[in-house]
Amino acid sequence: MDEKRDVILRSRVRLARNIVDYPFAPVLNAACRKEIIEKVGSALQANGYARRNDIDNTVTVHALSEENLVSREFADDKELHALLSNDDANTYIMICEEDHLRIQSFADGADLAAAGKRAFAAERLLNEKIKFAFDRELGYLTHCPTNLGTAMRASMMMFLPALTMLGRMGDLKSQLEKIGVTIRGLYGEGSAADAYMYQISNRLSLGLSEDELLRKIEAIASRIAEDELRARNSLLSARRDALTDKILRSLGILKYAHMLSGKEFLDCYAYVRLGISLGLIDSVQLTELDKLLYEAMPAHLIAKNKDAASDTILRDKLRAEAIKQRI
Amino acid sequence: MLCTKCKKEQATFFYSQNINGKETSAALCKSCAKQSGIDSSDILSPLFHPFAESKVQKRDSGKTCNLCGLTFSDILSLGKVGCPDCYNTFRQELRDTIRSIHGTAKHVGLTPERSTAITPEPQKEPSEEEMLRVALEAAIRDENYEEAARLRDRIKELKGEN
Ligand SMILES: [Zn+2]
Ligand SMILES: [Zn+2]
Repeated sequence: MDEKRDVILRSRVRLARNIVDYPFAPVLNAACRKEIIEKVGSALQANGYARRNDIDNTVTVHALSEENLVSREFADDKELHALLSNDDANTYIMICEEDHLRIQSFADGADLAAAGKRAFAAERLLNEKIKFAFDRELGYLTHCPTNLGTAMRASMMMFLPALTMLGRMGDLKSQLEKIGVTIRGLYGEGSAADAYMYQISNRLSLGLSEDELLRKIEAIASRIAEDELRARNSLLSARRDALTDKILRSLGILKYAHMLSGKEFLDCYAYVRLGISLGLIDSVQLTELDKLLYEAMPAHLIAKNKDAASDTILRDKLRAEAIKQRI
Repeated sequence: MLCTKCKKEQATFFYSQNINGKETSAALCKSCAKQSGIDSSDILSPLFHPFAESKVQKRDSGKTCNLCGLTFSDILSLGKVGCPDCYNTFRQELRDTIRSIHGTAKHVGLTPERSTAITPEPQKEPSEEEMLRVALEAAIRDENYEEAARLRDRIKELKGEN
């Protein structure tokens, strides 16, 4: 088993593009938004991209945002916008978010190259039909000047329980800051309920090429992953009994609880995931467990049973059921 | 774009607010913004604001962007530009800010023509002359003519050396 998969769950590449002769999306009127949505839709029509008809169904879009497939802001936005995705559902195009186009591609595990390849394949199709706003000096022009240049964000989702428990995240964060890389908690920060899940990405997009940026983030993530794996071993030797107890109790809760809050789930999920990596649990598959990271989230549960939107007891019961199906 | 309230004037205030948990955005002209009791200090805080921190000389040359109608002071108060053309219209004014965000103001990498493809020239430090030219532009903007003269002499010197 690839040890890095224990640490790096997913890779993502996001490209921002804007179309010439239109103001940026936040100040775009409805007619222009419609024009842009049609332009992009027809450019991709022949290539297996479809408008997700359920875009108006906020539950579904929120479910996508729980998987980080679309941004939270995009899911919340009630303005006229659209979402396209390809048949393989690994590339999503958000239209009229902050920029006219945000092309996002994903790959499992540590594989930024694959995510990049997909994103640029979609970008290439669009580039043949649509004139993007580009400047020789500043590169691709974006609404926010922090995204100029390649207009690319390369990010990796990382599980860093040991570095967090050993109090090493603060130092890491400021080291990364100095080299233009950001790390932030995926579900908030500082408590166990954030599941020790982080996202690292390039903060700057101008002055390095796409390739260089991808390689930089991949190299940094892989160094952090090595540190994390070492830290897990020292954590285990320092606190073997206490840690083993906590991990097995967490597994017990996931297996047998009748109701589980989102917070408690994330807490137990993190310890079970760590337990698998440390070889303390072998009855649960990492890939099955990781599916719960989405399936046990509120919008996913509500998508299955809409009564769960207002009924938190029902939601916590559905969560417990969903978990039992995977472990 | 036009003001969403009066639909006559160019909108220069773009803001978003949270009403009952929903983000709504609006674009208003100066007078409608004033009427609604919005001044720039209200709308700035929630927005990410890269321009505010920069050392950009806050002077408005009176230029407006042909496509979106913003002036440079609009951009400063918004913290964001209105359209792609703004980057060209206000190229000089924005250069320092962009440089202070990214540490450079020169794109390498993909172009729409794909001629440079993804393999770039290796990144190089700006030459002394380039640095001096940036400082010179700033000195002229600041009306610091003594400094400007000194910088101009140094640039001449450098050229002589080559
Ligand atoms: Zn007005
Ligand atoms: Zn403009």
